[in-house]
Amino acid sequence: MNPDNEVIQRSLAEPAVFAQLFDRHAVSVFRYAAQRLGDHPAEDVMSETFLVAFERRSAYDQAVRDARPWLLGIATRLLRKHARVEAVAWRGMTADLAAQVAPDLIEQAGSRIDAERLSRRLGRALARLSTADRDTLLLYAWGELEYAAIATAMQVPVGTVRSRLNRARRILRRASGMETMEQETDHGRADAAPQHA
Amino acid sequence: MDELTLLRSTRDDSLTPSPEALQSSRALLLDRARDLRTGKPRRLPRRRPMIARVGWAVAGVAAVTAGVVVVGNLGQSTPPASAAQIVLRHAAAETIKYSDPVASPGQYLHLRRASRWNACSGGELDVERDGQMVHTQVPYVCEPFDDIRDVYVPADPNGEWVEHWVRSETSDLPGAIRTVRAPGGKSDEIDIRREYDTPSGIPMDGAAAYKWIDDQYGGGSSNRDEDNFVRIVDILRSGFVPAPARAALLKALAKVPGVTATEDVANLDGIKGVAIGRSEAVRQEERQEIIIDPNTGLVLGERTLAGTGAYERPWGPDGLTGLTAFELTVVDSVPDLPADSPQG
Repeated sequence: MNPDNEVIQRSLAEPAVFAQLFDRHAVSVFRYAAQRLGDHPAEDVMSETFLVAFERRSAYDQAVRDARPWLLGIATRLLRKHARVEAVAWRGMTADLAAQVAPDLIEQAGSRIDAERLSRRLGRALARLSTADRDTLLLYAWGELEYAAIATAMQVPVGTVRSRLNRARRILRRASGMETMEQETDHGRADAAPQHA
Repeated sequence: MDELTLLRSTRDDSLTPSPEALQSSRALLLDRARDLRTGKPRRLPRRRPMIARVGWAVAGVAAVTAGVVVVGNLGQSTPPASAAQIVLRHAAAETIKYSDPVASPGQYLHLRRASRWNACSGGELDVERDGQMVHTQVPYVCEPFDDIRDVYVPADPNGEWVEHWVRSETSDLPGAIRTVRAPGGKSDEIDIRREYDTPSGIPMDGAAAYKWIDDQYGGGSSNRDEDNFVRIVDILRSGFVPAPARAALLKALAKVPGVTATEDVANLDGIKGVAIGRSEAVRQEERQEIIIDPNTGLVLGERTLAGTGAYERPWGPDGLTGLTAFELTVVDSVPDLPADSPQG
């Protein structure tokens, strides 16, 4: 399979080729948006993301093979137009979030709080984060981007990503009642690559 | 386990867009791509004065027999489709007589598609300012660039296919050179055939071929006639359509309402033929054409002319925004090809 950068470059001469990018990443963009907004507005964000990306494809950094960070960055900016919807979605999503928290993680958290309470706390903490910190955090947690990729998506230095994540983590940690459980020994990932990015 | 792991655990991988949303979003994207590909102006037209030009002459059977075609008038509002129909039917009849080039064992069919398109950027965009997306108007800039593709298809289609691509630089992007090779034209990584395969199921009768095309109309921003025209041209552009199917498609093209002909149109290599095309009223009279040799039915290339909207700045005369040349020959070997560019 041709890498994304090649597809994008090729689409400059043959615009329809850009549909390959849609085929590869539409679900990923939707999933990220749907987790934040809910299904219906997420479909609009998905569609709009690819139209914006198509318009901007000539400015794509051809050195970057994977276009997913770029697409999620566009989606993130588009999500800001839905800030009010997202705020409502946060309130309604507590139960959904709770359902996603694996029982063993609750157990690891010390069984001190149940999943729903934990989710409620997380939801409130996320709502309190600044837009930039929340975007960074959710690109990491739900967009599954590494530090360098988030930097690409948000068009900020990697150091900024790290400081935003650290700040967001502190707030989350307090909210989840895990403040005393662990010190900052890892970043929630087995691989350490992001820390060296 | 830390708070990020906990948050990540809430990621819901079962979330999936509906098939309808995927389909409509993809169609919207392809519509946008097609609009750009055909140079469709996307803003209100800036009308230019209509210039009176040579009018249409009525084509007689004798003229067609002599291989003379009718001169079209791009500026005229109601060109008679009959002239184009006569040309196309004649070309279709000649196509049947034409023997497609065949590669002998060890040889290759070589299709060369040279194109000069407009690379445009700007327009109405969402750009970020101070962390906010702002809908704004960026100056629209166009410049021509060349895109040359050579594909070598071995006599044994299971042999190694080679595709060589050269793209000239623009102000936005460096030029690119790339060569890909794949046994049988396809591998897990590369699919060369995709662009050159002839669709299966093309009826060999003109009326049936037209119905076959028309039945596949899927809606979108293009009206039925425009879409039918574009899809027929898409197939002919692939370059390896066998003569019987090509003849049927030329006959089908003659049945598309609004199709007109212009004689003595040169392709990018300077070879002249008849340009068959449609002017799209909904796209400020933007016109897409396929250039054929009326005496053999061979597809020589394509031409795109900007309409009265002049949104896309032409780089050639008569509003020219796109010109290509196709050539299909037989070669004994694949030549030495230059190395890929760093981003090739």
